[in-house]
Amino acid sequence: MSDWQSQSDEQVFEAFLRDEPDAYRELIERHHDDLLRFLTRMVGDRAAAEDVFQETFLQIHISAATFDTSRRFRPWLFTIAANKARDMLRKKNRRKTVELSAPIRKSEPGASFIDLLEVDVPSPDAAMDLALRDEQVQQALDQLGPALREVLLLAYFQRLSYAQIAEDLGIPLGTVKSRMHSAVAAFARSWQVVSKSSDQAD
Amino acid sequence: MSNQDQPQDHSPSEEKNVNLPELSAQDRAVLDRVFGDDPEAFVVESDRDDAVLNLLNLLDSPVASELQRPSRINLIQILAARLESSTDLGNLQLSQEDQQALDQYINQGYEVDRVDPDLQSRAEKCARIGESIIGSTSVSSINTSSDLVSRTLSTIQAHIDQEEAAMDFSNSNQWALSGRWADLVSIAAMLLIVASIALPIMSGVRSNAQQGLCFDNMHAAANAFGLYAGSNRDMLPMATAGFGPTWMDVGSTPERSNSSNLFTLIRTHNANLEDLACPSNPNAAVGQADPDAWDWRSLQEVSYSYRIMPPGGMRATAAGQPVRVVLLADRSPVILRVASGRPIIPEENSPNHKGKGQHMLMLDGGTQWTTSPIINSQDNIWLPRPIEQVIHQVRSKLGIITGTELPDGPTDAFVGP
Repeated sequence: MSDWQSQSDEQVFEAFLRDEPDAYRELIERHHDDLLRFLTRMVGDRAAAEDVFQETFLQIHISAATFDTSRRFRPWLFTIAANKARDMLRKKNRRKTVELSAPIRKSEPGASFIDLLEVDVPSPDAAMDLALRDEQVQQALDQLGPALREVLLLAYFQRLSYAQIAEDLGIPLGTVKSRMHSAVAAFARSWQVVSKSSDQAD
Repeated sequence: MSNQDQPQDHSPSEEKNVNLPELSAQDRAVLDRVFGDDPEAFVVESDRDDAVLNLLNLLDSPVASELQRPSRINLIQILAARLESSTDLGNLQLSQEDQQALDQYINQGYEVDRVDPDLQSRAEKCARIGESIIGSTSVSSINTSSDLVSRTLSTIQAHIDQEEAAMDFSNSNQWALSGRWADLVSIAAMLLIVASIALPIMSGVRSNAQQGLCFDNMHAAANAFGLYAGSNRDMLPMATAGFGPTWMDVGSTPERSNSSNLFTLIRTHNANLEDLACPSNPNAAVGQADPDAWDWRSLQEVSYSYRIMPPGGMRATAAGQPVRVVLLADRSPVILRVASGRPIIPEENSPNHKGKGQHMLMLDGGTQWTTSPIINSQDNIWLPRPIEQVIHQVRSKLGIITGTELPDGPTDAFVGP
């Protein structure tokens, strides 16, 4: 029996390329939780995320021979997942839909600034209904455009540096930086609106 | 209801739908005004107007609370505001301090402590945003890991099957010989090149997916063994109290076939045929099992080899009994060779996975893959210990060629490098 635990993603992937059994299962199991969370955040619902999850690993399977094993596996996996999620969102958004129950915010002309110190983001150990918080986070993320959502999720889920994100997404470093700034600002504002309307509803 | 209240202009499909309630003409008139050309101009003038608006507000109570005046409604304006709210977030900018804090936080490997002290409170906010995003996404439902993993492997398998079916030219009758012969030859040559590249890759991909499914079968079998033992005084499946002259006559009677012991799992509905059918075995029996069946019909249908049961059977757990005993494995190549009258190769791997190795289910429920049938203590899972000892003795007596041997006379054929 292969001792997968002591092996890196890249080593397991190489084992899969050598046709070693259960190597691919190990890769799927190893990234199951993180990738499913990432995709749920990206596409907004669990069922769609599971579909994209399967498509992602199918794509990896099909493209296995093209992967440069000297590179890291996880960023490749997440980049493919992000591409698949983007495709899915594109199909889904061919007809633009907006939830009527989405919170309304007065629009302000031109760029506006947000100060994070004024935003109340609860700490993970704050006494709060986890399911409610989860739902609110998703609502707040749903308000962001796909490009902002993607850069935010890729960064936080993989703890990537700006340079790594730029490389993975194939966009200039400056663009990554400004997108990330905008994404955090947008999420903070969106979070404010969502949590406020939830408080009012209570 | 007065004549004026009667609905006026119904389409035929609406007329058929007699169960749907219908609005009065007055209510429809109010709706027409609400959603008319100039919704902005709508003003509540009557109790009916008020009632219709209240009903509409029920559909979207947050809107009503926000506007705080149910006397006017402009859905288009509200919709536009919401569209805008979902698109203009990109115009927002972080303050300069927040930008610095975020940049440092990311560049310092997402460690708040490594950010400049005067920016740490802002970096902390950035960290919390990340934690809330990664957070607990449907934690409760994420625990269905094995289900999604299995479905993913099945999706891959289905894709591979589709690809192979597409490549199966022999099954295609759609080739119309309408082009020139030379064109067809060129196309055929091109397809052959593509197939020669793709087939080895597909083959590797396929066998890997099959191994994954086989691994799932081992888990299913482990569950089935557990269920069976739970309701049969902790005994492992047995179809007969003991064997007759042989245990390898599959499809005959339980007294002559060890596989009928394994088939007991199916007969007692603790497993189904698919659970015990390795995807790599083209002859594996699948589908609905015959309710009267006691065994697979032939050796070729059997995908897994089950521990030979001693007379009286064996307990799943017993004091002093070792737990790392092989209970089930991919089918034995030795038995296949013996059944077809060919000499055995003791170290051969199961044919289930192209001779690359075999899955084994242990008595403690653990599953493992080995690339050799020799497991701990030099125990060959295909053979009983006495035969292993004989083979060992024969080999040690025969020794190996040292390079000093000569033919035993002119009639002894003996060649070397």
